[in-house]
Amino acid sequence: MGITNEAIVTISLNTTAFIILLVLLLCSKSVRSDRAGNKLYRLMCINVLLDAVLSSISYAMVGQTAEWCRPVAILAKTLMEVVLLNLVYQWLLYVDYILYESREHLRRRYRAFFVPIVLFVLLLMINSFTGIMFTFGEDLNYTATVFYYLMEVMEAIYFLITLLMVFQYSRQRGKIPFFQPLSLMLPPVLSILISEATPYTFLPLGLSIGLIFLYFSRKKEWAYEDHAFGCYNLNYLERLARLSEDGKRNFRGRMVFETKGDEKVLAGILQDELPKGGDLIHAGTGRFLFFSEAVSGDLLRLTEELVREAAEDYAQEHAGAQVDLSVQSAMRRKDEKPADFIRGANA
Amino acid sequence: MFITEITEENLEEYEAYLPGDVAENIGRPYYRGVAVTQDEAPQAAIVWEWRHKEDEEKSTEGRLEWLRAEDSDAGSEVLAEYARMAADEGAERTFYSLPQKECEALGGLLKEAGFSEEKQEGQDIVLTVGQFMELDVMKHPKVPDYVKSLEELRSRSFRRGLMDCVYHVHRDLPEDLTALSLDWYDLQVSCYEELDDNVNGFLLVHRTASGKLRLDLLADWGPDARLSLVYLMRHAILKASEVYPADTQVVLHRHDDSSYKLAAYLFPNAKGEACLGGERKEEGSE
Repeated sequence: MGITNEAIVTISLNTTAFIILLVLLLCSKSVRSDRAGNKLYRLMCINVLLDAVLSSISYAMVGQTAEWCRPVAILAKTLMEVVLLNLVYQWLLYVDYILYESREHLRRRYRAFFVPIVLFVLLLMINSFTGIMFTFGEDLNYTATVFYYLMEVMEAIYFLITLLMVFQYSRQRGKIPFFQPLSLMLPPVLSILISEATPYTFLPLGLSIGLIFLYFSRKKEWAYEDHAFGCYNLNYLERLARLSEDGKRNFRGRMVFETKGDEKVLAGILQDELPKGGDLIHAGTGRFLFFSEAVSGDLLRLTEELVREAAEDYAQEHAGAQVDLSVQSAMRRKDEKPADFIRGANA
Repeated sequence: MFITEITEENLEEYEAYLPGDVAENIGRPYYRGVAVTQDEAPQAAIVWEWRHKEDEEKSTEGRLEWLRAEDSDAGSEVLAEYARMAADEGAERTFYSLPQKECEALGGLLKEAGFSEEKQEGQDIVLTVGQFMELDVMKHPKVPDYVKSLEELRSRSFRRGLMDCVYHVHRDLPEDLTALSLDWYDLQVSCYEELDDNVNGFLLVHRTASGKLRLDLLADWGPDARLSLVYLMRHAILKASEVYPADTQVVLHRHDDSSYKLAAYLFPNAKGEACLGGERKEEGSE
């Protein structure tokens, strides 16, 4: 029997997704940013790519009568579900890492989340012999069991958890720049709804569109990054000024760090000593800017102390190599416009 | 009568006059004290804290922490000196909330000096270590190994943690938080949360001169802040119960929404002592 019309349409959709993902993988490889999540992003692309291929194979087997088609259908379906479980878990890790940039936090928190994933992978593995997750009819269309639906509920819960994480983070620390998790999640949700209403599957295409949106939001961020020093570049200064004008950020303090020595050394010291998640900008040879929304002049004094101590430690550890550091700090005056305060750092 | 600013250098002369819990704050960056003496004996003294001094968006204000006067003349002198210093600092308002008995002993001195007066519930609630041990959070006293006593933290990491705290925590923090050193706090009961070799949360307890344990800071800015706060509390309560008797007093100072909510959550029936409080607009302010 030939391939069904539903299979042809689904394979076409999946092929589109496949091409999109290949392009995304090629594009994301060229970014040398050492910011968090690149590897996870690429892994997600690979998973969706595999999902597109396996989904196509699975659909192609529907209605086939040859003996070899049944094991291929079962294998394709099983691997497809394993890949989706993988993807959901990777998305959870990705969101957490984008927000908190902490491998230790991932280790602490996500062991527990991994357990249900492993459980369902095991159930999928034994499904071929037990039919505990799904069974195939004569026409090689599958019928889901209650455990299958439980797995889907778990996947939905994991997605919801990522939304809650983003919400919690923005309540704690304000809006997250360059990251719109809904941009990845809405297309797959829509694709699932459309798939339910049609005999086709749109999920790989929905996921690939979501990954495109994510790519572009990351690309926007990469445009502001100084890859050599692992901080922001001077374009970011203007962005901060615009955000201040719009009232989205409220910077009260700024610091200017300068060195006539090795600026990579200074960059390393600043990355270690300044508050994590801070806005550090490489503003030119040997010059770095840092901004704080905290009201305290004491904070700037303490920050300067810590940076100077770290510079002295460096000098002691490296046979007297001086960092040759100068620091200027300022608090925004009451009559000073926020944007002028930002731009004035590089005047 | 002589008016003298109380400083760390001359504090010894006033130690018998000032309560220990008040005297120990002299020397902190935003605390000030003034005394009026006659024949080398203190006749009146006042201790206060400047608030919002570093905040360009809020006006500086004074908060009276303690006041004592042997007679109305000495009391008026000391309040006049306070007013002069408030004008120098550009303080716009002064607030006070003092135990009712202490206020009544002043015989209307504050009202005469232009302060409003109303009955208030005191900001501090005083409990015991034993009462903390009975809390629901202590039913499952599990504390992960990344929550540690402050004695395990080096001074530099502590200061870095304070820097991160001020940077990330967007609510009222003690004014001089970054100026206080490790040894201001009880190193066994105070604790911190560590993530990636950085401090992500503090529970800082100061042991006052009179032996009370006062919670100065409870904040977490890490990924699992709510859970970490519970772990920090558990750690501190367990340590306090190991080191101090169960009847040791613990002071929860309620100074903002968060601390009021925490106190209400932990001890919904606890109340502060009866106080009188009020405010005054300072001369020279707009």
